[in-house]
Amino acid sequence: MNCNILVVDDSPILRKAIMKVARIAGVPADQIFEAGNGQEALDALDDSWIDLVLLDLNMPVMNGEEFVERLRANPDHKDVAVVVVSTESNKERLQRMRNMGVLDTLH
Amino acid sequence: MQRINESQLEQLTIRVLERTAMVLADPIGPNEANALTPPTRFSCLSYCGDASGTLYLSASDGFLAEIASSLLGVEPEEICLDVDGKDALNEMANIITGSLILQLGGDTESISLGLPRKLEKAHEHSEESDIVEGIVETCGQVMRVTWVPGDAHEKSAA
Repeated sequence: MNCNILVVDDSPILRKAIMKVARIAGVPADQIFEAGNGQEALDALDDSWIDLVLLDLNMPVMNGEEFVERLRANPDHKDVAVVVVSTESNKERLQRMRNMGVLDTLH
Repeated sequence: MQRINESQLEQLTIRVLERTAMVLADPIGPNEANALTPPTRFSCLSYCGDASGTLYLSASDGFLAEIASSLLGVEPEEICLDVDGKDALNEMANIITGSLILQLGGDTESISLGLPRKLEKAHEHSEESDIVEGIVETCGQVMRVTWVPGDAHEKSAA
């Protein structure tokens, strides 16, 4: 599977678990990147080409919602695919994410 | 907002453990729990908005080693409890609270989840607290989950 994935979650153990699943799915380890919050994710996007972001919402420093707002405001990254992976259940918040172009939300 | 009882809280916790970490657990009573390995690590997570409350979660080292080893795909003996064990407890608090809010009708109400926070010891609930407490066990190891609706332990959300 030839794509670069960025896993964004403030939980290190959950990042590792998701990255492991990505490797099992066929994504090479050197094509899987990680970030602990939205700001780190923006920095990672400046350093590497990313095809898909797997994004938590509730994070310190910069949460997932603000991250996507910044992402869509950046001409270089505005079309990056984003899938939310979060415990968030509030329909309004999840709809706001879809309105910003998030492909799907996984609870 | 709706309420849940002790049995529902335990079943919710068991489903989260099974679905997320593939750890199979069973509910037990307080007397039975006192005979097993007690929790030694503690965490809590608060939510606020249209409803507020706090979930307190504690687990024994063996329980956390099972969760972390399953998530990471390694043997329990390879788990660093101070790092991965602590993180596993915080993440379980996060997922259990999210599931709790969903079950209480949180998908139609405006509720913000906070961030999980490590506690140095078990939280002492006041006698007036309206608490719901559940206990589950796996392989002789114990996890306690306590829901306190309206608790103001932590007001800030992410």
